[in-house]
Amino acid sequence: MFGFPSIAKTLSGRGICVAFVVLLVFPALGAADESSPESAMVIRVRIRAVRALGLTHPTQLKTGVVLGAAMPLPQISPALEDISEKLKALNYREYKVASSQEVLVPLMKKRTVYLHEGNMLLVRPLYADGGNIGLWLRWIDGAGTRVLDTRMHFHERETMLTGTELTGADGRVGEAATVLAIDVSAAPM
Amino acid sequence: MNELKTTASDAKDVIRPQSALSVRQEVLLVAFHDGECGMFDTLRARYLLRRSASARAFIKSVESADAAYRAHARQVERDCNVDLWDRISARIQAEKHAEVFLGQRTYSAPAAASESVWSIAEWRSRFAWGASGAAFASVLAMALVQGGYIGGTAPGIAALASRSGSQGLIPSATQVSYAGAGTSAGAGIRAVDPIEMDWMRSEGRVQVLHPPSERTSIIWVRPRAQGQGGASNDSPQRVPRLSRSNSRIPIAIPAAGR
Repeated sequence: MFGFPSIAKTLSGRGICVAFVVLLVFPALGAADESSPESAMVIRVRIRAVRALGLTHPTQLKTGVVLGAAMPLPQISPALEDISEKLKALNYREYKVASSQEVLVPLMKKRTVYLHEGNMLLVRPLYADGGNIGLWLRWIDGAGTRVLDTRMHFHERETMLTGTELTGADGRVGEAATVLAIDVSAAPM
Repeated sequence: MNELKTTASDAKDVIRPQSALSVRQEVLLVAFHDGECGMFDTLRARYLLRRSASARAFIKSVESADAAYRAHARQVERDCNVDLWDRISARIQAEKHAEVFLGQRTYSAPAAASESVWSIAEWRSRFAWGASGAAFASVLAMALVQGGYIGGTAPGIAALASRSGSQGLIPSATQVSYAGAGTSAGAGIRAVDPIEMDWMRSEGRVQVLHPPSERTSIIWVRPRAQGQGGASNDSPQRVPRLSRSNSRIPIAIPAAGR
């Protein structure tokens, strides 16, 4: 009933045309994919480690809307001007650049970036699709604590901030903080 | 006989034990029997036959063997000489009789194909199968690539990323979007770009903050105090926890507030 001759007869007309088109199109797509810029692309990862000092509000992070007007403006290093608005939302008086590094990492390659005071950031770009970049991140602080381990999807030309509170010499938590400003962009190899 | 002659010529005058004649004499007699001797050898063979009883017995044995061989050859010729046309004509008659009762016999496809192996119909059939198979394989490969099982897209990389040191994946991408933090959450509600993440893990407590004047979020991690469990001491019931694959390292999901 579904023998070879009947199927061949069914496919002989329209099936041949469709199959022929598919045979022509898909190898072309494959070749285009191989020669796509993504295959010869590295991800530029810029990491700025910011040291935040002087907790202004002992209990919570301010939001700017409620408390920002009443607070004195924080001192922000000129190198952090592009993220000053974000930093102002945090609850510290002073922001200094502790370290700034920029690494080029090929896709699917893991790179360890050593920051200040034993902080370490492991990055692995996963993909770059248009303006979106997938990145695996692992932030390990000087004490070996895994502060953050995530896989995120970044938008290009946007800075992602992540931070953690530090424990002071007197044992108080939160008097200082480390903030990482991470910029990700795709660049041709 | 010729073969025997050639072989015997090398043996010279060797006398075989069961015969009084030498090999050369036997070869001479065989050649005389076959009529292959010249004048001088014919005289020699006749002289030998007159003088030797063994030669006469040998020539008689050769004649009897020759007669037996000829008889056998004639028998084989009779057996092998079959008249095929009788069989063919009989088959034709049988087919004609069968056609009356069973209808005309139609030729099967292989017989037709054997006549024109490279006909257009045969080509189309073969090409249709080959092209269909190739198309199916291409579509399947593209589906796998688009689905992320092959290549470098995000779902396919989940396994690689998990092997690279991350455990306990949340299978689908998670979009975390919270407006504000703490008591001012209501005041900070606005349109923001959500943070897209597949999973997140931390040894501290994670908060996602949205500065009101910014469109992006800040991931803030508060270190866990010594002796503090998976939840906060001040509000343990407010820390949502989806699952815990490792008791030491809980899966951290952003808390809406503290």
